[in-house]
Amino acid sequence: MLNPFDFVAVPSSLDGFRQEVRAFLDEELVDMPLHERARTWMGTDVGFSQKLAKRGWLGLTIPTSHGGAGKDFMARFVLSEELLVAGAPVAAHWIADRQSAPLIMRYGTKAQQDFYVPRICRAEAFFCIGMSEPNSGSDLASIRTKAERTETGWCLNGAKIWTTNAHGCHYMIALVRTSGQSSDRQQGLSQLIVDLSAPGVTIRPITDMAGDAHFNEVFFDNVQLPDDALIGQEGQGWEQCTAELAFERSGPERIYSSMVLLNAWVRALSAQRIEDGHATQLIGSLLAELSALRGMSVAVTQQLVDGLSPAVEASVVKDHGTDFEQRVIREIGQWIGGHPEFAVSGDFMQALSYLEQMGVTFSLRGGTREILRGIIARGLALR
Amino acid sequence: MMQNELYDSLDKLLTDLDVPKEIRVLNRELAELSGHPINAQHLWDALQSSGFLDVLVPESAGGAGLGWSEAWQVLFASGRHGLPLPVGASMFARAVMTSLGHEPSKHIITMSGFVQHGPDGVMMVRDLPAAKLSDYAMVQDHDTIYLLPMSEATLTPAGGPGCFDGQASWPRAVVNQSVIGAAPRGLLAQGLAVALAAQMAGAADRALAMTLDHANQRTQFGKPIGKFQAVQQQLAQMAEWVFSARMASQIGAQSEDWQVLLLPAAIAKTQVSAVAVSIAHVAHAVHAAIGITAEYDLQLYTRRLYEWARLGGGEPYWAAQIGQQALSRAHMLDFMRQGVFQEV
Repeated sequence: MLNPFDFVAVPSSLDGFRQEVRAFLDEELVDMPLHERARTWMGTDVGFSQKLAKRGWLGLTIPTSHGGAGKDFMARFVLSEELLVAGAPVAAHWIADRQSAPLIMRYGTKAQQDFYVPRICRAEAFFCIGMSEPNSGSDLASIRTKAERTETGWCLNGAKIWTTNAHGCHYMIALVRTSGQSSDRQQGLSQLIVDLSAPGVTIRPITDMAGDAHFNEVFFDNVQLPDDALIGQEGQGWEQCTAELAFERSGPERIYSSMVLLNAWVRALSAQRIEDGHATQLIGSLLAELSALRGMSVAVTQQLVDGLSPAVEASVVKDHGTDFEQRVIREIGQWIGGHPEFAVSGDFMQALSYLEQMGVTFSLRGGTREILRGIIARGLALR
Repeated sequence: MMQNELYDSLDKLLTDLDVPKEIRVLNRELAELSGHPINAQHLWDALQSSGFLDVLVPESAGGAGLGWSEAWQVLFASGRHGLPLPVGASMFARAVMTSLGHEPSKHIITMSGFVQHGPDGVMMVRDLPAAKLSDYAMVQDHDTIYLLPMSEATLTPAGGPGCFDGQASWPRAVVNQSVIGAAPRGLLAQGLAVALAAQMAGAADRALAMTLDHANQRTQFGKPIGKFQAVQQQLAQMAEWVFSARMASQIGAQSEDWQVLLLPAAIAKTQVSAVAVSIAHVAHAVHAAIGITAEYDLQLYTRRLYEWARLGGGEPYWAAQIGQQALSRAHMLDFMRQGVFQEV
């Protein structure tokens, strides 16, 4: 069921932490061009991820016993907000940090927790998510990749597609069928941790229209996995996946993907002392929508702090947030087109063009707009 | 800022009062006495005696001494019941009067932060919420605050049947006698912006609840229309807008006293006004023809969304106020955190 969001303030006790993160980013990213920042959580830099890890900023919500910082989700909100608004290249560790480590802490055995989680926190183990398949996108329950029991563990066959950063990862948490048929839908699915260096795994990067090869096809040909590749319970993969997606959908990355563009545009207007009524109104209108979204995102974060699982609320923020992110790109692009006399750098135009091309994915990744609105409708008790 | 006892007790009071029935009584009077003030004293007395209107008045002046975050509960509840009275305007007017050293008035007070000047010193106000139900109008011109009697006003309707808002003008002599003090520019405009945003968020919430009920009950092609994906997608988006309006209005109503801050107020009115009409549109689209009938209650809420989205400055006006301040800042997150969310 879906509950309304109520305003909560980000605790002022996190101000010092924010300043620390800001100072680090200002120094680290000083030479990073806008069009690279525009990639936000699609930009990869292993060295940068390792530097964050050295500061203890990976696995922020993971207990210190497993190499994390033992902080709460509000601290993670502040860190994520700073990273995303700066356009920091966080893709290498992002998924491991955001959802794999919490998933393993929640469903894994002690041995799995001890093995994987400290390495995630040290930026030594990167994870990708194996959900979509060539014939299974939004209809995730129709997946066909299959793991069969062997004497020593599992034998995996099939293929995953659109797997973000698989080529840069050590492990995939894959949703696979461990019993029954495709017609059994959500029944008989399990999550397996696949070592991507295992024989029989082939990773083929796919180049996108912006020229990046950020996602992949991943093939499994009789891949032999040990018994403890299973994470959580056999047959509970669908439920585990749903819980995992709540982490994926609730974060501030769903409202800030176009923030570097907005910042750069306002700075350019200000520098050229442009007094344009439409631009002024547009800035205000965007900031008003963004403020409400930030308030909602903080409210969802507070629910995580309180130990709730705000899956439907997170879908509201993601759907509304990605609408906003796309609006920023569309409206700024429109304004630039309406003011051919306005000087902007080539770097700015490259950032705009990148976001124009990739902005459509904001409302695809982590659940399409139509899927999310279906989830929200169920949350509204539409029978 | 969860809905609290203040919300619950007003919600109960208004449910018992049956506001839609009361509105229809007022509408009848409006039709019969076109152009004249209507007597809304019955509704007003109920609010008055329960103390809800003195939430923002300091304790030293006999009020509750609470802030906007508590006033939000009252405003959201009154919006959710479609109360057409200038609840927020009057609550804020009482606090303003106290700050100017006056006894807070018990009258029904409408409000505007925008005036026009006509010939011979005539003062005109284009839109006053619930002007036809009000005893006085509190108006700000530059830094002067006026409390103008509606009995001396020339009043013109600002809408058709069912609209209680109006345009008003006062002759110079009345204007000159009605000065009650001075306040920083923009004070009334900002206070009214927060008040209307919270009332609209309440009306939007009611429109959503009614629309969800209707979608679950109305059957076509052998199933409830809420089963159809095309309808579900619209309702999901409507819910997002309703929640966004609620959050924006709470952002505007953060303060723990009666004072308002420009940026949070501007954010509240900009965002609530921006989504209000879309919310009304989905509500009516899902209800189809029955939704626009006078007999059905939906229109009692959606008409306020249309009227108040413009009133006291709509999205473009308040967005420009935000934009002008943002332009001098290099970092939009910090601008938002510090100016809107009051973080350091």
